[in-house]
Amino acid sequence: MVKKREIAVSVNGARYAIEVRINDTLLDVLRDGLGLTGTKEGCAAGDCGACTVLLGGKAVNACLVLAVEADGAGVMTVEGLAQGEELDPVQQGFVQEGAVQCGFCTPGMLMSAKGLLRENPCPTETEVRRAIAGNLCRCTGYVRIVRAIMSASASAVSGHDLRGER
Amino acid sequence: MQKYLPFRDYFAPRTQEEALQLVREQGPAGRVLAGGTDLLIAMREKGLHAECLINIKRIADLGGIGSLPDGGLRIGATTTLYEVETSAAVRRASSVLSEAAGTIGSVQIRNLGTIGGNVANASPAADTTPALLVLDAEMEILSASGTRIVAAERFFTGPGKTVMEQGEILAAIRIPPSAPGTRTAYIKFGPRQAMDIAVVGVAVALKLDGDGSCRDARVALGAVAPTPMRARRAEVALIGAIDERSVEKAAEEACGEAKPISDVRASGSYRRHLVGILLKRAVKLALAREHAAA
Ligand SMILES: Cc1cc2nc3c(=O)[nH]c(=O)nc-3n(C[C@H](O)[C@H](O)[C@H](O)COP(=O)(O)OP(=O)(O)OC[C@H]3O[C@@H](n4cnc5c(N)ncnc54)[C@H](O)[C@@H]3O)c2cc1C
Ligand code: FES
Ligand code: FES
Repeated sequence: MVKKREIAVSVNGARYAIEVRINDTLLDVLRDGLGLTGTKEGCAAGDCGACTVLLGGKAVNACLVLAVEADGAGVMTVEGLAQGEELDPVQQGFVQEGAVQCGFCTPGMLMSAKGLLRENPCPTETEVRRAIAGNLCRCTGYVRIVRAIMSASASAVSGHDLRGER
Repeated sequence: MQKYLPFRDYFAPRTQEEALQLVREQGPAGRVLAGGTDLLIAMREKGLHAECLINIKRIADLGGIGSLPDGGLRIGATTTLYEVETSAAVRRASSVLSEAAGTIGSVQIRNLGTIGGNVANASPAADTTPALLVLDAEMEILSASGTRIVAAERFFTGPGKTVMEQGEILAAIRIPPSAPGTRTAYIKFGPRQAMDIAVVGVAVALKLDGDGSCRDARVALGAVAPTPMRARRAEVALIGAIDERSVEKAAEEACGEAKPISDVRASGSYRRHLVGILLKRAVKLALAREHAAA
């Protein structure tokens, strides 16, 4: 018998008291327990970033966090970005720039972008690239993703040249 | 790969005393869990067996960055690599450590992974350990009988092996204040710019006199021996006036001192070649920097 624990977590602003197996990952519980299947599993080894969520406001790989470790913490997943019908600026940026192809990497990319912009609203292109270094995309070649994140940032608003910087 | 993590118990102690008691009670079946970025993967992919995980991240005394009476820095073991990378205090006092932490994995890995985990895991290719060697760092090790301090250089005994014994926990890393005029650099070489383990890592710390000559030098190498290592003959070669000849000599010495193996990432001879190249680059980079320590 696998031991279970009750944990209290806030996910996308909603509070939950849920029973989890001690060896469930946060990713398992988000997807299978709470039905939040936006967060993806690619590698289960920290390499691909498809499982990226914000834990306590910081981008982390949900495949490397035990659900019991999240007890008492706040989690934000891709489902928490939009406010009703209104997309988050990072989502808006991805739509505008056509930064989505198959879409498997997109939730993780969006959360890495969100994590970056929370701390650094006005990043350079180099900083954007560093922020998504742990997110693999097999389709887009990253150029449009970088543009999308730049366009969602305050760098765009302040007239920063999106295409010029190397 | 096995996705299911086969352990049967989990604890999240709030105090050091509770944690030490758990570590003692569980014995070899228990494992300390910090960021989990090495441990969970070793359990899933490498068949590492642990019956019980003891999460130490809720213990306030094991986290945080503070100063020591001698002006040095005390970095709690559970401080994340991201905090080490970005903390103003660490950048000021030991920028080479921030620099090394910033080369690890991805933002997500650095937000989870801790400096204590990087050290305790004792991978020969870990990025923070060469930086800790050139900083003359000390490991603060906690057990039921109290605290003992071990110099970074004596802490590592082999791949995945340290002087820590059953029942001990790494509590913090102490960085002594650096002498005025110290310049440092860490260079990591790998095929990719991010998300790659070092093929070779080189850290240097040069203590310069007012006239620019080198009074004392530290050179440490990663991924070229069973443990991170000081290259002492290279250090000697750097003392005095630093010019092309002395740097060339230091590079030669470091190549000779390295004891690299061949593996999937690189051949031993390529690693040896890289040691010389990276040492020269690291010295040049360090010299081009202003001394940052207060
Ligand atoms: C995708 C990916 C990329 C990576 N890239 C790099 C890289 O570029 N460079 C690099 O150096 N590393 C890299 N790593 C390895 C890892 O992220 C680091 O070594 C990290 O610092 C480990 O810290 P942790 O807190 O996650 O340790 P954990 O996994 O929690 O623990 C590691 C080991 O140390 C023990 N331990 C942890 N803390 C303590 C303590 N305080 N006292 C006693 N024992 C303790 C644990 O029991 C375990 O055996 C990477 C890992 C992944 C998954
Ligand atoms: S599924 Fe977590 S990083 Fe790939
Ligand atoms: S859009 Fe297909 S992986 Fe990125």
